[in-house]
Amino acid sequence: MSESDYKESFINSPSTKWTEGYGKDSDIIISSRIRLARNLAETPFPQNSKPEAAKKIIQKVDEALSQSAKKQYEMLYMEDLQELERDMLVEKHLISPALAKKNTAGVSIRNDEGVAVMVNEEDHLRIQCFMPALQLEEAWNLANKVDNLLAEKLNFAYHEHLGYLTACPTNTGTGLRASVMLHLPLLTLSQEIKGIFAKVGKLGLAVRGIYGEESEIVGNLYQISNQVTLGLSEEEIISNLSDVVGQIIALERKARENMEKQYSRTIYDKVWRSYGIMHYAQSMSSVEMLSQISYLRLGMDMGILPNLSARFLNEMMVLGQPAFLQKQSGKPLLPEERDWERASMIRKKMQELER
Amino acid sequence: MLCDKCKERPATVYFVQTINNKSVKQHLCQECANKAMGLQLGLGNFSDWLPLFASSQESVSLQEEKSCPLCHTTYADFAKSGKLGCSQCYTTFAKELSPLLYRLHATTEHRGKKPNVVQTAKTLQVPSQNEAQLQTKKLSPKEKLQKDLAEMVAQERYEEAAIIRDKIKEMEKAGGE
Ligand SMILES: [Zn+2]
Ligand SMILES: [Zn+2]
Repeated sequence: MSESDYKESFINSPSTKWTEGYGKDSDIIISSRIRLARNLAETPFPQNSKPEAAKKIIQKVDEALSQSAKKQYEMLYMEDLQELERDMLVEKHLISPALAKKNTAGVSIRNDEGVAVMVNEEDHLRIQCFMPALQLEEAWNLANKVDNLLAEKLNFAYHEHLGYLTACPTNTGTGLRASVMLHLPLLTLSQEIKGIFAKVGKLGLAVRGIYGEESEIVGNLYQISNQVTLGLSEEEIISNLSDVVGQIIALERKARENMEKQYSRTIYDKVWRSYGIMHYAQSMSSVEMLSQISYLRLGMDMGILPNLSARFLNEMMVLGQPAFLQKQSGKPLLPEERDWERASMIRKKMQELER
Repeated sequence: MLCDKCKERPATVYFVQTINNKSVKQHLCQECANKAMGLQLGLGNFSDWLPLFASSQESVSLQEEKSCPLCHTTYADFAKSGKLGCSQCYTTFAKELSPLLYRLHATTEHRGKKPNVVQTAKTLQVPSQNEAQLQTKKLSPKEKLQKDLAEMVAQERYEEAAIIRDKIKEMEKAGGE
């Protein structure tokens, strides 16, 4: 693909690295992400930098990546993108909502969309690595490599005792945020989830909804990440998170087994109803879409709907977001119009399955 | 992300409250969320926080005017936004940040990755005018002490840190910079 083809697909295609849908524990874990916060030494943090200085930083990062990694990366400048295009990148999780709001920011994306380096968000650099399913270690190894590569060209702010210095003291030290997106329909249904998350909170981990920090829990999807970034090695942070995630996976699996034994007919009915609704509904809110997708996903994982794939559902999730819908229809849409457009997109996707 | 309310602890709870039909959304730490939900903190718990609270109050009032030499951020700016202005701020506000970092991470000693390359680029880099001025500017005796203090705190040598802090206080009382 040429340079412009990549840019085109970064923005327009709903498929990205984390939506691929295969890998370890993919029946419960949708995706894994590693983020490293880095700043340039002796340079004011983005909040305090002037537009010209900010642009220079983007160029520096672009140079560092393109020199070291032969044409694998493309830098997108926010100022060159329309609001809708920025929002589509947010909906693919490639950039944060905060980055999308900044004209002085940029993101360098690797061709396979497994790496996206945000520039001038809260910190000068936010190296992000994405993987489908449970692959935290793989994502960390990749992030570590990208970090080393950048460190050959850039002088990062580092303190002998405090580690990597970041704009917010919640990230100081490793600058590492490891997170995992989990699908937990049965633990949610049984309300066991509340007790689990109360415990998780005490272990220095945080639980959120899926669309960044602002989001409420929808579609039985949760994001768990580490809070503590200082005093532990990267490997320790990742293994702590993996341990907890492993325990939650075991609990969800057990709950699914029990459910299948006791209420298999109820589950069958629920799953097939969702299948019907997705085929024929004329209007659907994004919250409803996510909860219907949750039933389909459960049906797929329990072998009730073998023609579905995680990739198909993940892409549908992205396509059903506001910016993607508006791009598809070629015009701005009111929320009510979006619900019609969303249902129509879903019907078309579902028909693909019948072929 | 720090708690929207106290800016002292990490926000771990997404809190939605409906007041007069308007929903107010906040990212809160567990403590502030408990308070917001009207839960009583145990007495023992509350007194645990008192000393920390007192010391942070004191340091704010003492250091109100101090600003970072590189980015001019003051501690009051930081207390308001929860964001530091540059990496130099960590040195400038070492005293104030140390207890905060301790509260957030239960330690102030990094044990993770170190930048592994001795950079040739680093030594070749020509500092901008501003940076050059900073580097050549001689530290005043008080600044020197503050730097020592930061180092002691970072190394968790609190007894020595206390001695240096007293020296700084004496110096301030004497009215000299
Ligand atoms: Zn708080
Ligand atoms: Zn500063």
